[in-house]
Amino acid sequence: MSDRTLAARKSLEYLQSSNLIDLKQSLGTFVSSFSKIADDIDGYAICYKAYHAIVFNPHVIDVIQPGDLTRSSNVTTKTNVGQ
Amino acid sequence: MSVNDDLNGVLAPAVRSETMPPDLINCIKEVESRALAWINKNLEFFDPSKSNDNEEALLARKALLELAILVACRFRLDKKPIETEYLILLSFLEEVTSKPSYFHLVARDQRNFLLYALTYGALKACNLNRPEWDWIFNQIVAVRHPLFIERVPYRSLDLLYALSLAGKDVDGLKIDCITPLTLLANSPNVILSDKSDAYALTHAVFYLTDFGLRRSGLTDERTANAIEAIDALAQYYRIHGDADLGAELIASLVCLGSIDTPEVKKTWEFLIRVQDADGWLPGPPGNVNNKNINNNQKSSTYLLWKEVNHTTMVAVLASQITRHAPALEKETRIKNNWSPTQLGTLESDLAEQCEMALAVATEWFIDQTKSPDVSHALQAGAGLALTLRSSNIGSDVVNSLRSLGKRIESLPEYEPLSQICAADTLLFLAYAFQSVSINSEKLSSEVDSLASVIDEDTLKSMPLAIPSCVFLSHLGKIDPALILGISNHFSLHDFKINIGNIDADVAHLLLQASGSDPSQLVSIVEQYPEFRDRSLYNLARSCQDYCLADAAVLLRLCIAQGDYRSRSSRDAVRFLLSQQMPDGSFGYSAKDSIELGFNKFQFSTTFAVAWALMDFTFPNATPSRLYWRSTLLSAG
Repeated sequence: MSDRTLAARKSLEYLQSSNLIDLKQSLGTFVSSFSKIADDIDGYAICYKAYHAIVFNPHVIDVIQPGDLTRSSNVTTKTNVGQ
Repeated sequence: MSVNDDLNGVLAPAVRSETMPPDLINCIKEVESRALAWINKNLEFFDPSKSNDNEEALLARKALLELAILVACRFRLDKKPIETEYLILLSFLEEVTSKPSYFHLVARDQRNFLLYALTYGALKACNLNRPEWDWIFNQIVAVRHPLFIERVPYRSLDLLYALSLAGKDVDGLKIDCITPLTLLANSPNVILSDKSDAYALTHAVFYLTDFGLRRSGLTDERTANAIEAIDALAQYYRIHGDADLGAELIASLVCLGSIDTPEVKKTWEFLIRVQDADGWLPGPPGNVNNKNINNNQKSSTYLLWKEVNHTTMVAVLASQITRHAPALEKETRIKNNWSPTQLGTLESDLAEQCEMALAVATEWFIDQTKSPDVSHALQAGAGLALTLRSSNIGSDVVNSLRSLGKRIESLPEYEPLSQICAADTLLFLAYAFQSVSINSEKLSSEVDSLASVIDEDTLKSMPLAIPSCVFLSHLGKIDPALILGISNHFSLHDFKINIGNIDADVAHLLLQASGSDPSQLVSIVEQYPEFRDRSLYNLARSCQDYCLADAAVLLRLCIAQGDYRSRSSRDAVRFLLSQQMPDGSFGYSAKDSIELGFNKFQFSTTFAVAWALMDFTFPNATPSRLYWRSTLLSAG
């Protein structure tokens, strides 16, 4: 691959990036408080849902604790409890 | 450009009309026949005297009441001789209601008068009239207390309807005094409507229209509003898989004179699909409380009856009303769609509210540009770009962008902006600076170097970057010919997007991949018949779950596929508007103290909602258009 193609690829990769409304990526500090969450997209997805639930839907706090959040947790289902 | 000018350019006609195909009418008749056969097979469960359990007896009395209404509707909607299956039902009703153990309850259980009043009213409408019933009825009317127990408005309409069927007129109870208090008459928000609201709407329609036999008495404007709301709810509950509300809602639409709409047809196709071979239709899950029942002692036939009898009867009722719609139409059909003027006024009012909300949000973005966190300040600058319109750029916005420009210039040389912010922020900032003629050498040179290395072959291999390249082309940084040379349309295959349920994540990916360009999305929408319905369904769900950013993304997807005018979109906008804080941000936290990370979360929510409001209010000025390939084509 030529240098020019490499530069084009790098530029286009960057141009695909967005975080203005990507809530999952804006929660770095919050993510760090959940030790069991892997630093990957799934982890962020779970974390986003949990964070959302805690901030906006406090009635689910009882059912979502940091220890509950593993990569396989289905937080979406849990947030429905009590609604 | 004014809000009105902006809307007038893009709105598509809202009124659609199709005729109900004869084949579908035959299928509907078949649903009714099979459902009636199932009801006839299970008549024993409709007899309250067969049960020793209070709760079960109450359920049987309710079911008996609905059965009586069903037969009465058959009598009154169709002048032809009554069919055998209905005669069997009538004879059963006469037998059960003639037992003293039942009709004495009217006098003994006066607090539940409504439960028996409608049964007797319905039977009277079937020409079954007995002096002993009238005697008890007159006693209750004389007591008055049972009539004036405080009820919600649609239950008061229920009582008035029963009394009218029974031929009783009561001083102090007037339909005109109750109707204005109903949800039906007060422009329900379909996003905020729950099941009980939906049933309140359908019941009010049934009683006000006498099951389609008369006009509702609502003004033309209120009727149009009610039809639009009920149509949107029918769509929601059809996608939700709720046959019970689906049947009630389309029966209500027909009663209001909205007979041949696509939603009535689609919901009938859904009901036909879910009917069991035995004739019953599934009841809504969790509708019946089976907790106190010892299931071992109950036959599975009874438990099934308990779950499905209401939905099965409602389907029969909906069939009667739909099949007799052409006859009803002459009597009931009025101007039941918004006139273009009414709809235009309605949307202009909403658009003006959005414009005000965006102005307040702009103030919030200005404040956020002062953040000590450069990354956050740059994102806030992107927020200013989002709400920017050439006709409405205030000096405070220009000053904030100018300050931001100075901050960018003061950043160390070794710290490129691309390491501080993502591409969407960078592109929005470049657009804002260009719009207000502010020069930032650092920003310009970074954007230039990003654009200068792009070639057609590499771009072809990375199609997800095309919308950003279109944006750069609009900024004059890339030759449009480079992008227009790539002629392929947006394809799911290229982007490996699994359409599935069209939730917020899928909506986000679709918007990114297509650049939210309607011309790019159209092929996907055509490929998936339920695309529009499912997007609107998930939009409502996101609002109900208080996932505002998700709702905003789904709203943008709905708008991109042409749903500017749908009731669900407009009501979602109304809901989002109601979630703006005094400082201009969106989303009310449930916490007393600020959580870690909340500021960034709040920013993303506000940005998402503001973007949706821009797309909704200013479709010709929203920065979304800078991602559209089609605008590049038209410019070329």
